[in-house]
Amino acid sequence: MAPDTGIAGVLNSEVSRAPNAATQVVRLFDEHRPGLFRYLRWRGSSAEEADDAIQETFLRLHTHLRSGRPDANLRAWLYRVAANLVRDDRKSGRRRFSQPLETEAAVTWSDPAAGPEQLLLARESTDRLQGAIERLPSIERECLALRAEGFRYREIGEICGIGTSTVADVLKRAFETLARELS
Amino acid sequence: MSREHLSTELLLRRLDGELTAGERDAVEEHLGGCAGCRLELDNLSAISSGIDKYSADLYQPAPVAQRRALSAALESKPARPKVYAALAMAASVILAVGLSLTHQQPPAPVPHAVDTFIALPDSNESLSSAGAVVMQVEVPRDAVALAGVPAGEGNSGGLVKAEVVVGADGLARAIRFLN
Repeated sequence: MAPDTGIAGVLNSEVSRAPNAATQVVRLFDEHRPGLFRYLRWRGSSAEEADDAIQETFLRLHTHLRSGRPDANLRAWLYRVAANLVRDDRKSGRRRFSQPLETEAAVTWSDPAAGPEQLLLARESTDRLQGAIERLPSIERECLALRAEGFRYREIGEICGIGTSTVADVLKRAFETLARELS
Repeated sequence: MSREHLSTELLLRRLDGELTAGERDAVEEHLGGCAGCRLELDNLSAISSGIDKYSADLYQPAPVAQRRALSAALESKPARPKVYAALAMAASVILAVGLSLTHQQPPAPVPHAVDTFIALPDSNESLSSAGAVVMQVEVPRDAVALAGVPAGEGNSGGLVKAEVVVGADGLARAIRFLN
């Protein structure tokens, strides 16, 4: 509590922050929307569900910034809020579908100059990896998704609500499973 | 560590730059002399690349209207945080100066039971009124106007007197202006 701070002071600081907050939110949207979208798609959201959650996430970010709350790791905050929104929406029945990842993601990662046989092998490998990923337990997929977005283990733990050493263990299990399925 | 093969976890943490300073030298030393662990590291690296590609392919550009809709929503966002800030601060001030500066009345009914009280945005009407109190506060008229709440006429140094219904949970439920 800051007993020397009057109501007017609080409000004045809110007002002065407001325009900056809106601008900052749009800038952060441009910066983080791609990663958030991928993350939510990893978690099984449809494109529509992901975009709805992202929109709401950034509206909440605006409130968060205007409230003057600390934002030590705003990026992790965004991912946590987006995931919670999707989860709460599903619990409340506002979203009645939880789709498996669509096959549109199954684009082969292959050398464009490769021959037909190599392309076929690459395609098979891609399909196997996609299938293997989608069969992983949700916590393993979540940790892999956040790792793919460049989060440190500590941050992944913060977002998922687990310890850093657990993150390392979860990722190890996921990689071992994928290695087995691809061998 | 140099005799046994490195664990998958250690190799993965090496790939991800998550080794501790104490582990780093030992792992590098082992990798330098163990072709099997180098191969295993390469395998993990290949899987990692596949995962990254898989993730990248999930991306779809934002719908054209999404960014515009966000900007529009931010422009029209209600100023309710200001109300909460004002009321929170009012409550803080009241608590700080003690009950002598407040006028506490018997427990008040829930906001909608009193016609002259205005329910605050997002106040939860389903909460019990047990333990609720009415507190007299002074709120800057500008804040009231910004919040879009009708504060009536009058001017007393830019402040408007009001009664705030505060639930037992400490959250403000409704407000009534006295001027």
